[in-house]
Amino acid sequence: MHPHNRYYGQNQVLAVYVGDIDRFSPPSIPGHLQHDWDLVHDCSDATRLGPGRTAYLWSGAAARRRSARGGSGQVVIGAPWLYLLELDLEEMPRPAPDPEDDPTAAEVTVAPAGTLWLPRHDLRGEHAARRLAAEIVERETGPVTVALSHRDHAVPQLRQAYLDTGLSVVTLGEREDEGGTDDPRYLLRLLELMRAHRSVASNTLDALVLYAAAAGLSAQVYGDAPDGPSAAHRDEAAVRGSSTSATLNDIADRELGRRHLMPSAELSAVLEWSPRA
Amino acid sequence: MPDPAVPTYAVAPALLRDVLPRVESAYVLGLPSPEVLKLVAERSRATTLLLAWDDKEPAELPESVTLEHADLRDLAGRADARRPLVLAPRGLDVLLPAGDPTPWADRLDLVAALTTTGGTLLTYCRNDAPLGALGRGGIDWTPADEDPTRPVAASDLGAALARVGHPVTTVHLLYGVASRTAAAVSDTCAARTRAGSLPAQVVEHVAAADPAPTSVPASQLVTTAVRTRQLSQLADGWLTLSGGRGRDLYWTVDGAVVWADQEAAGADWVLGGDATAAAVLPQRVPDSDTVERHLLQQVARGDLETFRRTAERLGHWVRSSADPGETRELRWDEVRLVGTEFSRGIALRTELVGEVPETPGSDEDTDREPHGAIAPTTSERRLAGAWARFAERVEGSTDGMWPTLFDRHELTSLWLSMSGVSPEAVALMATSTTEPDEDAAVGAGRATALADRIALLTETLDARDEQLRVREARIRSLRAQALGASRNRDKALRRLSELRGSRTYRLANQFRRASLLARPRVLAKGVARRAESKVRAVRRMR
Repeated sequence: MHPHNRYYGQNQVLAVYVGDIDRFSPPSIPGHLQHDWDLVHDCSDATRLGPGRTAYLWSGAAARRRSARGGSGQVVIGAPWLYLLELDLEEMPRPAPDPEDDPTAAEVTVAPAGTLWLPRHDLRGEHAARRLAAEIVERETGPVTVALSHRDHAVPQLRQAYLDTGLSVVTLGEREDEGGTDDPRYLLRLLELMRAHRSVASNTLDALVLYAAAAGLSAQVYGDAPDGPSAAHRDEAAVRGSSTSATLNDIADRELGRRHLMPSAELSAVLEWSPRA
Repeated sequence: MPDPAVPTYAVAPALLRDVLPRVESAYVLGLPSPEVLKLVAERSRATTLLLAWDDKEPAELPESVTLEHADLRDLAGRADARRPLVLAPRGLDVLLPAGDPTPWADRLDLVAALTTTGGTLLTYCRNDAPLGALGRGGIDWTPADEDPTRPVAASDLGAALARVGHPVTTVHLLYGVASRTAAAVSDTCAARTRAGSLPAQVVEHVAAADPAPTSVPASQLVTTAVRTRQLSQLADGWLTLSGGRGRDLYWTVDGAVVWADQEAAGADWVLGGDATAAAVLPQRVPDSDTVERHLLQQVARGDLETFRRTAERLGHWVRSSADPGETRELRWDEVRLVGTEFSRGIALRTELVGEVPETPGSDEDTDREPHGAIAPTTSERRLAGAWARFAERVEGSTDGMWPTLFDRHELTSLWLSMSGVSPEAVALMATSTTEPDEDAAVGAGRATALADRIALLTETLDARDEQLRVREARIRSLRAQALGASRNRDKALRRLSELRGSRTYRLANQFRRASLLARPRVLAKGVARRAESKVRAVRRMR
């Protein structure tokens, strides 16, 4: 019922996982569904929920932090990203194929290659982007695709900073998609984008890097981090510059709540999507 | 009807039988229950029952018992009056005539003066400040304020006896005044008792049998007392013994007294006592956590995975029980966890209470149809009963694991699913469940949450209405555009038709055709195209 629940298409992922639900228009969730890593982007709306609303959290760690801030009425269900990884992606809503398209074209699969770079920019914007682009070119040996948030992508100078160094630039798209459409939602687009690459890199440890680690991709953090304090600085210090993924995998499992994933019937009950007696 | 001023404990004779020595002479101060008096008479060659002058005389006395109305103060001054066994089983308040202002500590001095050095002294003291009174209107501190020497804790009693030269060897905490359901727990045992262990289970059973209305559920009261090491303060009275030592734990099963002893903390409890009652109980009970405690720990830790796994194992354990015809009600606060296995523990209730109705023809899970809509099996009903009781007992403690608005019924259904009960059986059992009474505080919290949920739904409806308005406006706009386009098209066609019908157009067309004569190739192409289309039209008509 909270507008944030539609962010990134998380509600759609949960609806598909639960099954037997209209995938294009998932039912309302009676509370607030965590939509980002709370250590990096804490959502104040999740703390201000009333007593009849549930805060659906990714992990036990997030639940402990929320409790420490005085929050109550939370339920840990695991990150929707992990539920997406459990799904057969063919089950996800997609537009009907165009009859004029070549039917054999879809069967051609391209082996994953190159690095998907997910930069984060601060107020230094273009200047930071140019420095990052130079470092990426210096360190990466294979092809690199720079995926910008829709806000960054809307800034021509930022795009140009990467294009000038010969890197490909794509957008991750809006985090809130039009309800009821059959367009692939943010998480699905992101997963397909990640799976088209061999590795993922970023200049800061955020949810996207955790997503990549959880999806089994090699993920790295290097380059100038964006300005500003980060509550995840301890975790970031542990993985920054490291090429081993064990630590990052541990962090991803802990923060995305791999232990807390629920069977579909249980998830349906907890989300109050099951018929009530 | 028992005299409310006289504490009688069903377990007291059994306890005294274990601790009273055989002596030449004994004093019994104040009139005890006939069983106690008979027991003392058996252990002592000469027993004197000392009563205050205003105390009622018993109708009948055992043969070796002498009745004496005497002032204790006169007796205590005589050296020849000392005896090796002195009992004050009704406490020190009845030793002197009613209204006598002698403080409690001075009365103890008088009793101590009657006991030989190294003799056995047994005293009873009522707990003036039992914790249970907090749920029944509060504690009456008047007696303690009136006489500050009165002990208000078991440790006070021990200190007072040590002061008079009779250090306490055992204090038994007595629960269930004037009740057939009663228990006695030694203070050393109480000190090492953990929540859910056998003494806590026994005390909770006694507290739950108390018919007096209370605002604090017995389970919560006892758990709090045990975990804060205040089990002695929950007792209705204390029985101290200077010289001698009893069993750790006594309680009653259908009126018969059973005891349990434990060598050290963590060791198994060894059970004994009345032969008939003990025969239906296991000889040993592990001193391990109950399933309820284990599950509550997982709830507190937010460890849903372990909770789910335990629920699954419990379901398997019940279904694969050695006796599939077992119909006794299951309680997770009785079942104990021993390593990775479950032990049934002991059931304190009588046999006939809590019987799960048997479902004819569906005892075995194998009888169930693959997608059976048949009645739930007995094991499923037992599981449902156990989870429903658990839901009732942990109400208000599941926040953080499941949504606040989940009621007992929804939680029970969820846990049953975790235990491997099919959704069809869960649904069938859910419909037959009556709505249980809720605790007032839990009900108030739930009402607040429901009010917030209504507000949330109203907000959602408002948002949906707004979305609907936007969409309808958009549809109206698109419809207006479509209608406008259609009107414009009709208008354009009409104007085109008018144009083509005009004299000027026809004249211009004639000129255009005439001009084609000057360009024979274009004319030939035009004629050929027209002819071809005519031929195709004719072919299509075939």
